[in-house]
Amino acid sequence: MFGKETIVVAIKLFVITAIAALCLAFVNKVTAPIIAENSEKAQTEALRGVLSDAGEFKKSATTFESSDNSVTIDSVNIGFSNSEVVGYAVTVTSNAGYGGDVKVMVGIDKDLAVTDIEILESSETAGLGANASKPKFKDQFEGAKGNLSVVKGVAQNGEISAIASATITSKAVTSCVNAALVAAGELEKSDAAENAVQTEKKLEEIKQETEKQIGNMTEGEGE
Amino acid sequence: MLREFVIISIGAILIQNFVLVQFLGICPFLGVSKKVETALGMGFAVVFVMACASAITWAVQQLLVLFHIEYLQTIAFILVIAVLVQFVEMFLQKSIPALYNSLGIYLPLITTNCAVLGVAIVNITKFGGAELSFLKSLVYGTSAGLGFTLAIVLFAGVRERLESSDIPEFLKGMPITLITASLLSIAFMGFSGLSF
Amino acid sequence: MKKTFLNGIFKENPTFALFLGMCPTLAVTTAAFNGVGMGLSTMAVLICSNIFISLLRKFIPEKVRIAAYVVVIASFVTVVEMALKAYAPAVSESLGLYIPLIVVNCIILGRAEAFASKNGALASAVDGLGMGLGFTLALTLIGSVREILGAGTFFGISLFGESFQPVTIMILPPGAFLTLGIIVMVINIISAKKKGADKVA
Repeated sequence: MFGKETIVVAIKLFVITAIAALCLAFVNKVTAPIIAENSEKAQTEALRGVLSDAGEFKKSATTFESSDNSVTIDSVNIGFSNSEVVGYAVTVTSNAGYGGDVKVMVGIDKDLAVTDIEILESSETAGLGANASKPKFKDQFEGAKGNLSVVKGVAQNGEISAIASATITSKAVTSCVNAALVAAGELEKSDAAENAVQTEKKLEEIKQETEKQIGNMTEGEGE
Repeated sequence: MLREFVIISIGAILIQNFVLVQFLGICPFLGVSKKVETALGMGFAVVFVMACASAITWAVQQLLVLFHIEYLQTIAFILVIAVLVQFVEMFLQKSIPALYNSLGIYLPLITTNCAVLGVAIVNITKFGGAELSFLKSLVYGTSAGLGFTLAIVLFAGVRERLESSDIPEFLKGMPITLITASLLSIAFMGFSGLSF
Repeated sequence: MKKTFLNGIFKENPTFALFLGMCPTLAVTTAAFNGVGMGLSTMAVLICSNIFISLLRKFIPEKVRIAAYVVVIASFVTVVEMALKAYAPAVSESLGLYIPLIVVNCIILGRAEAFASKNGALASAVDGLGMGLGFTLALTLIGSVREILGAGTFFGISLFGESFQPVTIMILPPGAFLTLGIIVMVINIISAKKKGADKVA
């Protein structure tokens, strides 16, 4: 059915593809750890950016549901400084942006006031909605508490002044912040964060105890 | 659930139109749009290939993930698309000669249409981990092709009129074509912000 | 050799004369920096694939040459993609989807078919360099025009101060078509004048 020529052609093509795949596997091996490190670094940098008081972060095990249908709470990181909870960094996605999803990280302190926000991903219109990541809009959230609403023009207390010609984006970001504030409030009430620390401490104690015991055992053997 | 599919579909056809908003498939958009008839032929060939490509690359991606070789995505997808186009061509030639005669000449061109590879990659990033990702990819792929068809047919309509109008010497050819595309793109911007 | 090099930059500039690789040209040129990033990535792939295809031109069977070229090109694109992600994450983020799409950039397959499959490795490398530079210059020019008018900045540096009201449409999709259209128009005018001058002389 197949002529000799066909087989030669097929083998040649196969050889080229196989060599290409091998080379790529090698390059992937070299770059994969660097890429992983980069994305981890970017994540920590974003966390530090929104919650500068915290020295280290731990992901909360509890998941949150938002009452607002347009937003989902992706993850909540608890910020610690010297084993004390200093605040929360909540990552929220809204699907009500102008160009699709808007992903926002919101830093919230122990008093449930916003410390800073960071737009992680958005496909908002360049020059209009994309201005949401500029300080002029972003800084309005600093220190904000409770339920915020968006207005056009000058904002009063508890209000956010929309970006000119980008009200939809402004609303999407604000609903992310509101959902984050609710989630942080729940977490604060449930003391889940404190519990996490407690568990951590307990684990550490158990670990030390076991180590001690193992140490004793080996000493015992020595005698 | 049906609502979700309608949203994906309208998003791909109007709001995030592949040609005029995302700049995918510009080469055939500028190259094969002198006549409405040929534009329509090209458009349907693209819809067909995009729908098939969405389905097959979905399966390929499952294999890549299974063997942890996601980094071979680009190479695997482009080969699959090239083979797919070849198969579609052979199949149409044997089984549906009428359709082959009208689409035939556009099929080989589709391999290098970046909209097809684009739709395959977007499908993975957009619906990768989602529920019903196969159906969503299929709907998105088909709609993206329809969006391409809509854009290229509208554009060809305008270009047919341009043929008979008096254009300054230095604007003839590419410049006026690009400026026309710009105006069409402004029209499509009106769709963004459609929300449900 | 010099002629091969300059050919890609001026006479057969892939963007302004041949209209190849239009998708990335229009999509990523919202800022000059993106234009440079896309141009250089494409140039790297173009040079490497030109060299390899030229070296392999006797080995690759005529019948499946396009498939073989595509495999070579796709491998280099993946290498560039991984390298950018690892060493220049900012570039990788702003170009996003358009990096894997370098595979279907007609310039690369076009040069493989038209030049590298017929010429030696060194000449092919020079051709790749010339074409790549021509593409980079074109993308940087379009990106600069769009960024200056549409955002009032150049490589991210603010040019006109706070009071400048940017022409936002220039960095939106319609601005891409418009900018390219007008640049080609200007080139047409210049070359028409040159021709006229030649006739007089």
